[in-house]
Amino acid sequence: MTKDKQLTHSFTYQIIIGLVVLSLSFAVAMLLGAAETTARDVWLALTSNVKSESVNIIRELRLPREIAAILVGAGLSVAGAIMQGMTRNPLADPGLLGLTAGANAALAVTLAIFPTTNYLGMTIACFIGAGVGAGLVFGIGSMKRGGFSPFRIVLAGAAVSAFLFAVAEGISLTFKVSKDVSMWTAGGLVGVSWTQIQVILPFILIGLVIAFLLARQLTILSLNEEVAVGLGQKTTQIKAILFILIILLTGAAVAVVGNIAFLGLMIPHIVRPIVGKDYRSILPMSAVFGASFMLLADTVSRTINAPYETPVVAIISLMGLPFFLFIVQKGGRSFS
Amino acid sequence: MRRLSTERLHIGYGEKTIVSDLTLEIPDQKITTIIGSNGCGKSTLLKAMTRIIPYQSGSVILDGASISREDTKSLAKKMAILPQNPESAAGLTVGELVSYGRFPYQKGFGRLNKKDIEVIDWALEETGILPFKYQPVDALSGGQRQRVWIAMSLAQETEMIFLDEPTTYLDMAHQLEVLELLQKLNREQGRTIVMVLHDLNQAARFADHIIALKDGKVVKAGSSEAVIQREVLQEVFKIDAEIGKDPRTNKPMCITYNLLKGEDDNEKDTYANPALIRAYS
Repeated sequence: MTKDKQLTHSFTYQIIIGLVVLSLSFAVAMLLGAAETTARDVWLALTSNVKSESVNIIRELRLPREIAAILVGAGLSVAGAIMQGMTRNPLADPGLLGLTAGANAALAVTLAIFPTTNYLGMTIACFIGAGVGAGLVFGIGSMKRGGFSPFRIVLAGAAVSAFLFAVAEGISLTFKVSKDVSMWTAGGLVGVSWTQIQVILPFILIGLVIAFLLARQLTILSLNEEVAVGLGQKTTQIKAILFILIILLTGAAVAVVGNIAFLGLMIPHIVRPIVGKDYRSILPMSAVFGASFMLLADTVSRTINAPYETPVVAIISLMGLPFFLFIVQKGGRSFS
Repeated sequence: MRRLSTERLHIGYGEKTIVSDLTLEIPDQKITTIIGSNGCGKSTLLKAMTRIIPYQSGSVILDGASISREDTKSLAKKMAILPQNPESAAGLTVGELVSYGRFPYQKGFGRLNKKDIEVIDWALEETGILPFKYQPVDALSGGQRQRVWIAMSLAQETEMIFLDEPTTYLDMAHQLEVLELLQKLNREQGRTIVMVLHDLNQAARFADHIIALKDGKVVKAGSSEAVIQREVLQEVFKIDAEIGKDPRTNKPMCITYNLLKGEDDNEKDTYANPALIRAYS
């Protein structure tokens, strides 16, 4: 069984390399920025209580922001991978299937009606919105018998998203909360605070851990539902739990960065050729790569036109759209 | 007492009844094939017996207890099911896919223990696909792919294996290869095999027990000789068949056939001769 050993070893090496890449991305993100900072400042900010201007910038602005990038990147990528496995649809992505738009609309409603809601309340609103958005898309997508074809779901996602964005827009205009809403939804990672991190951290961490524990279940579900039942899976229960995980991960991410599409689509597709097709490898690797990707994208957004911010959403979409077209061109079926 | 039987089983989707009042027994350690025309409920019956789909009333009884009450994981240690053309293996390698046959025995992250690895290699060996262990399933030929799925059910170590049209889309040689593999598993290891087949002659050649279904009812059940008969085929498929003997296996075979004259698909009822149903059930 030497080759089996080699295979598990090779995944261990891959994940180690992934973690090294993540650490490097984190270092780069911490070092580069509009404000002049040195490696020594970063070191002091992380390990001591020294207070100076540049150390404070790192500790209070850059560090929470980059931790948020890691959480959001990992959360959205894993949510995307789960959706792709569960729906057997290579085009699945939280941003494309109505979850982000739903959370967005929920934010607008909450800001309009309960403007004083705290951050936890906003995050919960995002969960509910993401759930409603996904529910609508899957409801419409499965209305016709034999539903759930990759393209039909994406179409339903586009329609529902357009509708929900319009709802959000309408509410924002009527209640004159457009500025607040767009601060949330288009703000990217600008001004992420430690408080925000404290709220979303448990949701994303718990979501990721449960996702990793269910990876085996996800793989057999991704084969064929009948196969999954035949192997002894309680399919309905597992699907319900996975659905909740997607909502937790996406809702928490949207509560921080607002609308981001394509990240959850791209990362699992980048990861598959490296680690293979088993979700036990895909999920952890997607988390690591998604986090690194988000760190680098945010660094680009902070530095490309410093001292002004270029929205990270725009950067990711610019990279994601060609990717989406590439997958569609490959037939939307192929997972390789 | 047989291990697996159904009692007054009723299966339907919404308003539509697919199988009604069906009582039958599956002989232990034998090969049973279910035959019948398209839409007669063969696949539905197979799926209900393996709890892939629920049934409305009656019961499927395994070892004296209804399967609807049994834990799905413990059921997965007793019966394995191969769905009709499981389209893709989502890019898994042969070894990975077969290793998922161990699913019902695993917990948590599902690390394979020594026994699991032994069983997987044995399943690969038995089905002759050990050389392809590290290749992606989707890169294999249709016949090889089918053997991979069979290997997965073998790794499940169940005494009963259910297959829904395991030979569809395979060429003649590969069809025979799959059926001979199943026969070997039955003869050498005493596994109960239940499968839906379209080809009557294959059913006659490989089955110890044939169940002929029409409109969700058993028209005739028994040995090949008892079921592959002119009258039964008239009733089940609405064909006029010439039955002979396979010179090599001595099993009955349909040599040639015509559609029954004056029959129209839209007039099903005109042919549901109650006397025949009584005579053959």
